[in-house]
Amino acid sequence: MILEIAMKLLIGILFLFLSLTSSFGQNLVLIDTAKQEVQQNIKTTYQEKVSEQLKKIKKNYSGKVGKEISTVYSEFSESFMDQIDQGNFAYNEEYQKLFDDILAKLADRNPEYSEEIENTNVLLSYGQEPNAYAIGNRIIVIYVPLLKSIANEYELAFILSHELSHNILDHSLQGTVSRIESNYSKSFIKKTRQLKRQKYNKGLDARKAYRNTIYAYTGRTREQEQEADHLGFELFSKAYPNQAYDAVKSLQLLDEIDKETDSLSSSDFKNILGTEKTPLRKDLINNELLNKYHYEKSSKFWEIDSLKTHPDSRARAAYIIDNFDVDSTATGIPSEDFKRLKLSSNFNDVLGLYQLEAYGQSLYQALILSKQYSDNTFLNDLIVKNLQKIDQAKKSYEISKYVSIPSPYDSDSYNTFLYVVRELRNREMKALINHYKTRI
Amino acid sequence: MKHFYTLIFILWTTFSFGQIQKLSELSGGELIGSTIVYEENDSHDVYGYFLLYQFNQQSRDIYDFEYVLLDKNLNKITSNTFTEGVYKRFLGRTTVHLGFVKKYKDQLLFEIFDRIYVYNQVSGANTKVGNQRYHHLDLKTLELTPDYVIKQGEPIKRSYKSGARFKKKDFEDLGTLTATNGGGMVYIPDSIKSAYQGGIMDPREFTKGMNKRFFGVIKDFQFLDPNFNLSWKAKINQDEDNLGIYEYAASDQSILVLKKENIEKTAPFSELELFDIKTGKKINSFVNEDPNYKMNEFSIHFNKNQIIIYNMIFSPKEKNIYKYSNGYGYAKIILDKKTGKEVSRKFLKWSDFSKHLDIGENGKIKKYGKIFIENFVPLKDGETLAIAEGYNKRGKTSVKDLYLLKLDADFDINYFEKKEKTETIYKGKMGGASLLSKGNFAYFYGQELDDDGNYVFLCVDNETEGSLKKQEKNPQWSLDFITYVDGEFDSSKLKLTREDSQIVPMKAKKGWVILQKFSEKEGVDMQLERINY
Repeated sequence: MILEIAMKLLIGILFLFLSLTSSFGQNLVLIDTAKQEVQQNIKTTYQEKVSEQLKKIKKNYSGKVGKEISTVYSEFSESFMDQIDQGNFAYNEEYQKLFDDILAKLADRNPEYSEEIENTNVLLSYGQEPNAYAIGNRIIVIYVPLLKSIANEYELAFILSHELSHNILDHSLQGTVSRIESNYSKSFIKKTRQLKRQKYNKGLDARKAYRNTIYAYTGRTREQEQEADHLGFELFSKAYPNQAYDAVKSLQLLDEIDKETDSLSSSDFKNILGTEKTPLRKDLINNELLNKYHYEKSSKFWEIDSLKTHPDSRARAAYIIDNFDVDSTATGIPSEDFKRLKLSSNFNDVLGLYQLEAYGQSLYQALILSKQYSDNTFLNDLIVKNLQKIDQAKKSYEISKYVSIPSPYDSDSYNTFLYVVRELRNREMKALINHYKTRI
Repeated sequence: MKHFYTLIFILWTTFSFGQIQKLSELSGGELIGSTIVYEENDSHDVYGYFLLYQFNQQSRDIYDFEYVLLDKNLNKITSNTFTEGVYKRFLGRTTVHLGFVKKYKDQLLFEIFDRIYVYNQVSGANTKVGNQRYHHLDLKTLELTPDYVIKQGEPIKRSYKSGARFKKKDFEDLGTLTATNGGGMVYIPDSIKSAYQGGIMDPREFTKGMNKRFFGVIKDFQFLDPNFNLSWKAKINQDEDNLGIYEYAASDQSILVLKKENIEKTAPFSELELFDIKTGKKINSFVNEDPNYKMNEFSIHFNKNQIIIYNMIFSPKEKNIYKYSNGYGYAKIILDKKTGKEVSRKFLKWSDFSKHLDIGENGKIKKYGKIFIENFVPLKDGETLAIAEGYNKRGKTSVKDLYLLKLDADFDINYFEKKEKTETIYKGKMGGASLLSKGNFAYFYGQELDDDGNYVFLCVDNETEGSLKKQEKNPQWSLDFITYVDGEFDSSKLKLTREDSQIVPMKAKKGWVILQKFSEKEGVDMQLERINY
């Protein structure tokens, strides 16, 4: 574990050096992964909050339920601290200033919640998808990929308002308590005992009971999401009345957020994954992949809408429009600072994915960026590093740990990339690594 | 990289605790079987994987099942449930099994059957197989048909109501279909059951008269399309003086090969009958015999124009041609696909190994034991790859080293390599055939790596040295990948037994292997990994 952290430290210093020395480096805001004291600060702050929270739980909940809540919360906290230790959280002054400025404005315009808002920590995290979450304890986590997907700082402000609302409304604790209490309810226990004793239709009845239990949980979660949307909009619109419609846009964005804004074409693949000595084999690009399969669109057992933990994004946007008086012209333009952070997030995302050992995703994003920034040393170095890691993983039969398999839910471009990378033979991989090394 | 982006709050808990965990366990099913589904062309590539579960008993005879179909990358294509009757018998125990799963264009056809364990006063405990039933899964619409059974050659649809009870006649005397690689199924009427029903006698002990009565009456067989429609019928056993017991041997997209074991003791032991799989026209009968040896076919392969038969060869006086340890070596016989006539016949005798091993005519190697060739792989240029293992059954049975061979077009050895490995010890005496049938050799399977003629052999070996007790108590399994790429052999190894987990390999699409990791902490994880070359 210590060796892993040391390696990540060294890699972080190396990338910081490369980014600052590259001609492009001065325009980018690159995350400094080397600040160990930052990681330690996060951990110390979090540990204090965990300690406070455990005291509250012990005070307010007793018996089996209380014990279960404490256990579950402790396990979750340990897992969160592992993430801190693994260096998943990043720090950069400019990103932090952006978050702090938003929080300050929200606190100023919402005095009844100012104490909660002012004492909230917003953590920047590496992630594999554009997302954000609240964990209670006045902590919100924003993933780097989210910052490259949103249009302006106002959308970010609404996202932060939404997450703040989850914490203000104590959804994490309430949701957990609700589930644990239902688990220990007499009726639930009676039901499972009765099912165990049943001779016929035990499996079928257990499945129905399981499904209904899950639906109850997810139903409550959807309600809580709507509560957070409601309170979140109240907080946001008081602070940013002239950009209120950006809240609606940020919800509408959720439908589009996972669609690729750029991709790799056949000629791109030939140029970037083939070399003069080992040109890319035609059969790798012209492969059927998943086209021949007809995948099931909906589950026969689950009702997908009942299974969702959140309402449909269009429904969420409509909820805001229906319940608040929102001027559709009240939108904002991103500042120059935000634009720079957004662009930088593309590069930070590549580094972040590498730090998370998602070498396939990191390589893919790096290759897409390199179409426009082919001479960028930072990117080329990351391409080499990712290829080397993938090569090592292949040789130790662990490539699936670091590179996904093609999936019907992913784009053709990404699926082709995954297929090609996985099918490259040893000598082809070696030639590719050497080729990119010459670019550094 | 599509995920659900929710801007969520994190619950500090998962579903896997307490009562909800108990519910999850009660609603889970028992895995009945799983199998690889191959593409229907001659590429031998994997289309996907099929898994069958039994998850609910509605009444005494009526059960609910669930199947899951995965693509070759392990993505789920579809899953669904269905209801069926299972054959139960007083004082018997029934287990349900998955038979073949075959892809035919846009359909998947799968077979389920029951195995009944009964006790008979005459013959003691025995098992019988019955209640063979078949389903179609449409791969475009993902709809499943109800099950069909074959009764006197006709497909009958069945349906079930909860609480329904069945009689013996509903389940017995049902036909068995054999899936082929030629776009349909072979149905050979099987009258053996009428004699065997009471568990009276082992068919292998039937007299000539009994054979004539039960098998000689079968005068034709059918080739059915995937929808059970008759494509064609072909005659067999037309000569009353030359009757035989027919069974499916091999097929590809153009040829069907049936094996005929002759009833007449004066006739050759067996013949191969070749049919055009599209029309049913009989191409030829090939008598698998040699003036100098007795022969027993080991494997049958096809290429575009030829049928390649690898036989074990024995002394002409050999009484038991299933006792592989008595073999003299192997023969490679090539038949022309169009005419069914023999093109060439070559031999590889144990004495041909004398340049490499101190070996006798009967294959015995001094102070070592014997070697057993487990797989022949015909290459495009007429050469053959082979993999063998050494074994010894004196005292305790042990499996020894691996041997890699390349044979030229004349079946002569032009490459020989001994790969030393840990000696694995087994209880009891087992010859080559027993070791092979029980899966006790290290050799696991072989597969094409790609369409360029490259190949891989996978071997699973227990590397713990020492006594049988030590090997059983603390096995250290490893997986050897022996590749044949661009004319050269190479190998690499992967440790399967880890400190906190055990990996079990499984066949995957060409050039790949599935590694199933079992650990107490993390449960089961399946990874699709590229074979290194």
